[in-house]
Amino acid sequence: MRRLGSREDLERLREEALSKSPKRFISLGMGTASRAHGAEAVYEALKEELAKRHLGIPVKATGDHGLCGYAPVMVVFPEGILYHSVKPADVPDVLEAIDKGEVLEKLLYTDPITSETYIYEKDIPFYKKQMRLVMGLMESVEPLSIDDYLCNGGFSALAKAMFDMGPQAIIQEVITSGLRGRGGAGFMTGWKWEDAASRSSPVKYIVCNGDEGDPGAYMDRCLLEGLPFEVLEGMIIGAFAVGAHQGFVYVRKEYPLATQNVQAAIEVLRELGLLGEDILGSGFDFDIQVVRGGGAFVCGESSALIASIEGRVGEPRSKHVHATESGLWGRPTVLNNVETLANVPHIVNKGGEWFASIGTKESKGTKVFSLAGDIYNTGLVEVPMGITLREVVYDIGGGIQGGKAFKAVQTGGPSGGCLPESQLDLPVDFDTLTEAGSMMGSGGMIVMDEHTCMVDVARYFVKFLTEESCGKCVPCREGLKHMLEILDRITQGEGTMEDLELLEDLGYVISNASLCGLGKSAPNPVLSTLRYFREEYVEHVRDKKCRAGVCKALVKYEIVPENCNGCHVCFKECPEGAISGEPKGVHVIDQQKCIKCGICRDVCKFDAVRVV
Amino acid sequence: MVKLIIDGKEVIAEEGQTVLQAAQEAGIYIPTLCYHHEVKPYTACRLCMVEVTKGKRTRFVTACDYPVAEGMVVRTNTDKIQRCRKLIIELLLAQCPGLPRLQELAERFGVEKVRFSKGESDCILCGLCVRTCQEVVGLSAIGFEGRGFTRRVCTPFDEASDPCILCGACAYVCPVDAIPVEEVDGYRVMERWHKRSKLVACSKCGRYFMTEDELRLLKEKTGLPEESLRLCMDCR
Repeated sequence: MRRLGSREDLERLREEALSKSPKRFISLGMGTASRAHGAEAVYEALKEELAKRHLGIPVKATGDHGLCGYAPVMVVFPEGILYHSVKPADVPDVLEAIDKGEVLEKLLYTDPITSETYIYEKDIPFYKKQMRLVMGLMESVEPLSIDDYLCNGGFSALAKAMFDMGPQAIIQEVITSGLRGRGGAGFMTGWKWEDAASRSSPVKYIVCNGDEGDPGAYMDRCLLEGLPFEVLEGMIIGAFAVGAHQGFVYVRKEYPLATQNVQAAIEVLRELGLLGEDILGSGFDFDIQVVRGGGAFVCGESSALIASIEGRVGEPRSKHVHATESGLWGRPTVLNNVETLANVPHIVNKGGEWFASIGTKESKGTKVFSLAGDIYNTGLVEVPMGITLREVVYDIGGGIQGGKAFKAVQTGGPSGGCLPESQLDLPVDFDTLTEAGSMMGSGGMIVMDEHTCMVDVARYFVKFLTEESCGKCVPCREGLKHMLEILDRITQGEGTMEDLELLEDLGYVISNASLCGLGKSAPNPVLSTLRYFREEYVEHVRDKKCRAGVCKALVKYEIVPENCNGCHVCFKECPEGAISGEPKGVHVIDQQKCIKCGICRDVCKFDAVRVV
Repeated sequence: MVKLIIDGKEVIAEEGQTVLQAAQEAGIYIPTLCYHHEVKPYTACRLCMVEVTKGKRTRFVTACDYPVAEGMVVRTNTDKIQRCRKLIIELLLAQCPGLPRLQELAERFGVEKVRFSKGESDCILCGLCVRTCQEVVGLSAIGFEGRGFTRRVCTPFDEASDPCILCGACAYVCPVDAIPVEEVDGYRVMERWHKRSKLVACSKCGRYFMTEDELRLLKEKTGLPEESLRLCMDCR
């Protein structure tokens, strides 16, 4: 690879890449989510079959496309035909269809509710309401192919920023855009940069926070795996704007593929002279080092992350002094989330005003969410700010599985809040979600159906946070421990009405008096469920009932004789042999043997198992 | 010099001072457990939280590390502060029910009963011992282990800590007297750190006044002849 010494060199390389760029190619999602669904075997089968058939169609192994619940997903370009749940055995049929210019019906996406079948990716409801900005290149760019990235406008923003704009104009553009941090706190990125740029220190740092730890959330992982160049380009622009010469990408330990891809992408950029000394002949020096986290959730908090990079124990400190004044090793430090940085090249290219035209008054642009739970279409979605929760859950997510009723949507990761049906028409933006008792967080979104117990959900998240609390400050360490004890008590039917007050008291103090964001937001799951689902707490305490049938101490499984036709399926599936009954006769559950696992209810097609 | 108002009283403080220092000098009491003027503020006990208004913005901050500023208005006893303080004391009492210092605080702030399950610890995890060992003595013989409510102060691997010289600074600074130091049969013993060291008697008056480990470290650090170091402070 040759070193690019100027903007012209970059453009020449881009032209060369464009001249070689294929119109027809197969894009196969190969991120961690796809690999878990067997994408690697599909990739191997594709390679083998293409060679056998002497078909010169390139396969791009890209990051996850987003429709992760249906992985492996492949899209045939240029038409944009989407095939999902592809197995290695399907590969010959796929290639046969491509070769003949046909469509392979059996792998097309069919809407689970309307039963309508879609050929093209762009028509599928999951994608239709999305606005894919930072995820936009996911399908057309191989993570480590600089040619792919250049063909799609890669590094044009960097050249524009360095040669046409200069630091001040870049910062102004980011301020105009209204971009707010995507890691959770939602601080204005432009202000952060402006403050760091105003510091006279000869040494400054920029840190990319990829310590995404919310259970079920993987926006940053997907971006780091699939579009590392986009994130790094944003980071180089940020470094140039604030005058930092050293950057760190902090990736959580549990993300091996993301770490590997970012590391490899940095090496590609070093070889090209897009990192290192005198980038593109601009006289600007900048390099990036990858740091792997040690597996602590709290290290996503900025001051704990800084301590961790410095080699100290990852514990937060007071933040009266911002990192932009005194951060890593006491130097001015800009700390931005992965997704925040991925937005930057787009803002530089298309302008701050264009970006600010998307979204709501105080929240601009798009947000990537990791949509999970009891809906049909789980995966990563990127939506314009201001879209309603209802649109995300029903139009994009496809609604609740199995005809059950919606109960709650949890946004903002473990320390977010649970919002009920009545809040579904709220626009998704930083401030609205906070007012409603939840938060934007980094973008986790979990949809729950009527079989979810809200007390149990609160207990689950508090348990997670209790285990992840660093233990430095009293309210978070001791307060969460007791919150968990009380919730345990309530779910076991041993709670009292005073416990509910105690939970509120604890919630107030933990959220007001804790040292860092983890503690301050930790009571959210409890406080929001107490606010919107108080009657469920009361039922657990007063009536010793769990309406969702989740809290084992409070439920028992029974067979409804009128509905039971003796299909005998529950009999076969019960792991404890607790069900008796002859085929075609009414079955009975032995309460002594029943462990309340719920399998009988799940397998019964006749609604004959009820929880009382 | 900066002028600020604490609980309605005008206070003059030096630039760079913290709200806590300014309040203490003005005779205004703010409770603390993890603070000691000899080590850096740690902001862990959260007992010193105050409400600070600067311009239009009011923030809830720790007095021990929040710098004073001209025109700042500080309130140390609002309903919100009282509510937080009381619950924090209650939580600490639940964690360490037997500590007299906590019972005093509870009485002072009107914490009448503990509504939480009680633990058996005698350490409030304020970290003063750990920080004093590191920042003042310069040794880091002890540290934190674990996280969340399993956090505790211990020596590395719970074995006798090599760097520990049994100087007792950790015991001196502990706000709840949870680190016993004993002198038995010519040895200083600190069970908590699994360590004992022979005591050195003053070569003149014969009184035990330091441990052999302290003597070794002093010799290393000062380069002074051992004879002069073997004299106690009174005989020197």
